[in-house]
Amino acid sequence: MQRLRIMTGLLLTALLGPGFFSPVLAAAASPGMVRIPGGSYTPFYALKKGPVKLPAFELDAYPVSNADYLTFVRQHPRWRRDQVKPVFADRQYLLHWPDPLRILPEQAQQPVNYVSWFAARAYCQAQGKKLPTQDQWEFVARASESAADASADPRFRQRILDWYARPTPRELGSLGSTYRNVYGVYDMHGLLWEWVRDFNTVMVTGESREDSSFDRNLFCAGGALDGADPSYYASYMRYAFRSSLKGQYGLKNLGFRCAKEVTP
Amino acid sequence: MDHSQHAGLPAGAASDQSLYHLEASWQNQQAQTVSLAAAQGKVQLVATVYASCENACPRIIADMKAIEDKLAASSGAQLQLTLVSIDPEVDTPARLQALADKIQLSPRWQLLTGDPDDVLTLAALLGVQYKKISETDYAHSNIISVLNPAGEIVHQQQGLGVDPAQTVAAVQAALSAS
Repeated sequence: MQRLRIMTGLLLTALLGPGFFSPVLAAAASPGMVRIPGGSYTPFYALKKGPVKLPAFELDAYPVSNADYLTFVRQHPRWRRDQVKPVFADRQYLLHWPDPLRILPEQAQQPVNYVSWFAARAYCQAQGKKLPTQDQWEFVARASESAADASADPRFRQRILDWYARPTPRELGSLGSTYRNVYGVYDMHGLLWEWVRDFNTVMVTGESREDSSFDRNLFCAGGALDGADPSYYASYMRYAFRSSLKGQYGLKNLGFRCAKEVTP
Repeated sequence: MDHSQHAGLPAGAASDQSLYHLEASWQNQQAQTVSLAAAQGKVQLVATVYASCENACPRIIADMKAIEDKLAASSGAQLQLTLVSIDPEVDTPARLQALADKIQLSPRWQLLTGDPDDVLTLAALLGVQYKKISETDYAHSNIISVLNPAGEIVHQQQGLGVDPAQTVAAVQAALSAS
């Protein structure tokens, strides 16, 4: 379905000429990806200096599907569920597949879940991509259907919090089943959580992990972290969630998509 | 951790839980290319630091030195002490060499720098979290990990100024098991 959509886009572009579509689509260099113009943004846990400048990059329009991930596993047997080294993936890894090299028909267009960070990283590398950085992901996650930065929009915030408040459904939705943001990126919220490249560079006060409770003896200079906007509770939830993860974890509600640096 | 599944492996072979499966190459303070797996067969102590750290890093290095001192006489030859920079873009081999000279580290120590993605991956394997908090400073977990000869984490000393007795015992146990 994803490929069909892209093909249609290409066909129409060929018929109507480039530039007919929005700049977002016209500038998207890689298939299946969306070019995100960079910008200045203040992360929830900001450097003391304030906003960070983010160069332009490309992001997958959709989370990675089970079908795409199966293709990867076929090509890279070391990431098969029955061959992966436990140091890189826990026992939950791909446990929802009926077989190490088979998925259910309905899973094809569902986002892949139960993947470890190491596996997600390897998948992106195999595509010549990388996992998005936390800043890249959060930058795009601020966008609603109509605004690049909807982080101050109470309805947008509430929608995200409502989703966080719901338990993970037994069946994950299909790719594209939530919303398309102003950049043309789908499912940033509402489908599943996503790995980021630097998930382990998050530190939040609290007992998120028994071995990393926030303690000046455990963290050099740790007291210097302050939330830039404590009212943005959804961000806090995401940062806290990431800080509770280990790279080996496979979780039902955790998938990923890939990003790519672009040369300006 | 379940070790039963590789009970039949020869001593020192990389097991399923081994960090030595990480495909990454590093540069040591002499600008030589090295891999962590080069210490396979030895017990390796690993911690993350950055060279310009003035607060906790000297203390974590002091803690590692204390462990080294307790073990040097009995098992010095089978001991590898490794510091990995979490600031690889700043910490060149020359800077790391300067740090090693300044704090007079023995030849058992290697100070490594490498690709930022590999640093992230190693940190993920070690369960270390870190974050840049200013142009020059990082907040990071103070964890000393003990890798047995097969490259598995068998013990982690967390926090600063901890009594090293448990860690020393873990190193000795790992050596006698090999």
